[in-house]
Amino acid sequence: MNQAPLLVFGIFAALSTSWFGLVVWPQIQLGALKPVEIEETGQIYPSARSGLAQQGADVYRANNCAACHTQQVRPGTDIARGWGARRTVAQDYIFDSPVMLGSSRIGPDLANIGARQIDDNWHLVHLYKPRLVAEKSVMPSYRFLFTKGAIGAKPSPNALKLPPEEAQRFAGHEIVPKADALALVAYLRSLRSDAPLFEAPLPAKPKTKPATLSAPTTNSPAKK
Amino acid sequence: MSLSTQTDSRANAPATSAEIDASCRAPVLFLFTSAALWLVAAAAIGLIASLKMHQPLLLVRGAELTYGRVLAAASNAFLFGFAAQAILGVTLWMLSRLGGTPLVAPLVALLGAVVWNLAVTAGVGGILAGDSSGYEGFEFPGYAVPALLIAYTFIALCALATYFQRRERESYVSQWYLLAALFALPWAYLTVHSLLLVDPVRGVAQAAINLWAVAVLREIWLGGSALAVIFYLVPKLLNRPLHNRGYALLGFWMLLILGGWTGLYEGAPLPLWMVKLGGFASLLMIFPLFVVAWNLHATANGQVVLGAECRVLRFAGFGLFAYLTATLVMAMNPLVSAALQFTHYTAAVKHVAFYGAFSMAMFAAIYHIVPRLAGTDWPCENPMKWHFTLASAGVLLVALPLAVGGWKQGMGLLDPSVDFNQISRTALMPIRVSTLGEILWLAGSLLLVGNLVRLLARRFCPCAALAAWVESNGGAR
Ligand code: HEC
Repeated sequence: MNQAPLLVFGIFAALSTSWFGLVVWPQIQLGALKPVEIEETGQIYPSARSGLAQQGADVYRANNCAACHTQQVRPGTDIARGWGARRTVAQDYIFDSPVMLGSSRIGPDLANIGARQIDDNWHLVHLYKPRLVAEKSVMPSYRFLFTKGAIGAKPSPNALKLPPEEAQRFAGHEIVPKADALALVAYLRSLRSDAPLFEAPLPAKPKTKPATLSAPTTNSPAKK
Repeated sequence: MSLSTQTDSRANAPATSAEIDASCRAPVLFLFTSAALWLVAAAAIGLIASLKMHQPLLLVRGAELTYGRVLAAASNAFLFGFAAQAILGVTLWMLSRLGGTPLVAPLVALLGAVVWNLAVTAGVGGILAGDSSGYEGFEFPGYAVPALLIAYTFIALCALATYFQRRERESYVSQWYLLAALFALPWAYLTVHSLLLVDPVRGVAQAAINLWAVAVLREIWLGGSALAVIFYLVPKLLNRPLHNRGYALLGFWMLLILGGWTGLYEGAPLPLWMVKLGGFASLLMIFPLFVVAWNLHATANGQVVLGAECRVLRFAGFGLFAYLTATLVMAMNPLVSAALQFTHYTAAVKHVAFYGAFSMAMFAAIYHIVPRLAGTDWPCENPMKWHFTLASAGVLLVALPLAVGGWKQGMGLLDPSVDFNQISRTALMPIRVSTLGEILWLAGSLLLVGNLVRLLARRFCPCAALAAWVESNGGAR
């Protein structure tokens, strides 16, 4: 240990074990994942996001929604709670960058929010003021994604449809989502990972152990 | 290996402590002072985040202060503003002192430290402006990173050159940990920067890299540096030799090999073998933990010290205790993660590790080192005592309520019939209490800055008599 070069070499060697395991190896095992054809439906999964939804992912990243929301469904109670039809696996994330798994569930998991909540107006009102649709919600308001103005000669077609009492408070004014808000909602609508996969089938057969991801490139019916 | 007896020529005799401290003075004092200022900034921004958790209608007009951005800004300001600079300051000084050689190229280190602060400012500002990278723990936007890494290289090269020129042949535990930390940070950051930001890999491999890098930072960079300080201060202040060097080596290498694996958790959308291996590594962390605890216990052997050094030791002792607690609890993570992984409980454990263990150890180091560099003692001990009281109460008042709240949250989530909003609300009371803890911590951090400013003002006032007195007393190592 008194030889400086030896110590430095040892440090490199020791650190590189986990580096190979968690940085290099995942590349080898998962780096080549491709969209696959779902047997039941014949659809290709996953499909790339639309441009608008992709912009929305950027809004999600910039505002760090992942501080409160995960996007990963674990086998067990997550599914019982209705956060997904199956666990999420590597295949679900191949078009995400950055992958925003999140590490905190102050809010519900959003991996399948696109399957759960399909009303754009609900999303917009929720983002504008969460407590209008979720009682005593602790989610912050994102009103900076909206503009408030007097209703002109031509009301904006995008203006929020607020609940009656709230609409009364704003009489004569309208709340119009900015482009970022619309993009964010398009992104939320795009979030769903419920296609039945070989490695993560929908739990029709109860009590099968959730399949692992062993060598998905060879085991799954990958498309050429 | 033992010291070779008579081969040392006179030129290779270890430098005196006064020489060494004089060489370290400018860069290390600069690093410590700016670290303390960033600590206050991080605590203030963190307080806003904590308030927003239960007051969601607070400060919602602008995008800059939305919860997610504030949270990321606070944690990055803490990691790269406070932690990195505190560690680098400790590294420069300790490698010089333990190596018996003056710091090599102190002005280069100082320049690096200045650039580092600019880069961190750009990074934190970038996060608030919405340019976050989106990778937890490494949210600085890509444009802040090159300057950060260049600045780091400047400082790290000085540290390395100093180590390679050392005149004390026998190396000590603290040096190993500090060298490991010195490499761990740029390795992790370079990996994140090149594989996630510049040319991102595809899909969930990103998450694996991110989890690895975060674990390396937590275990090897922060944890290792805390241990370096504790292993330095405990024998030194108690005036006893380290109990067993072999066990220290064992603990060191185990931490290095296992550390990076400990970020994984049950149910992550990653290959099963990875998750299982990660869980196993977490459990194995018990061994280095035990070795460290036992080695230090046998070293201390019931000794007590009094006076100013006793306050320093109190910080170090709190840090050690928090380190052991946090590591033990994290080692148990595979057993509880199904219920508690994404709750406030995880946040509580992280808080103990970052604030209780790491920060307290760094405070001990700062309080020990700064008077030696400035050549004058702390003007008054009371503020140090108050800092300890506020900081330790702050850590406990954040961690305990969050742990309890997280536990409740986890139990609620296990039962699908309990409404989610109901669960969030049960956690509200503990979060309110934790805000109080954040306030105490902020007050403590302000005291640290106050202490530093007072000492430096006293030392560097243009008073010749005082300066002369200082010079004659600078030799006490
Ligand atoms: C401070 C934590 C926090 C942040 C930050 C946050 N949320 Fe939430 N979110 C919550 C909570 C709590 C709920 C549950 C109550 C509710 O519906 O408002 C929630 C609910 C949701 C829901 C409805 C989920 C469901 O199952 O019905 C969506 C969609 C959502 N959030 C999107 C977002 C987006 C998009 C962002 C970022 C712009 C964001 N959230 C930021 C805490 C947060």
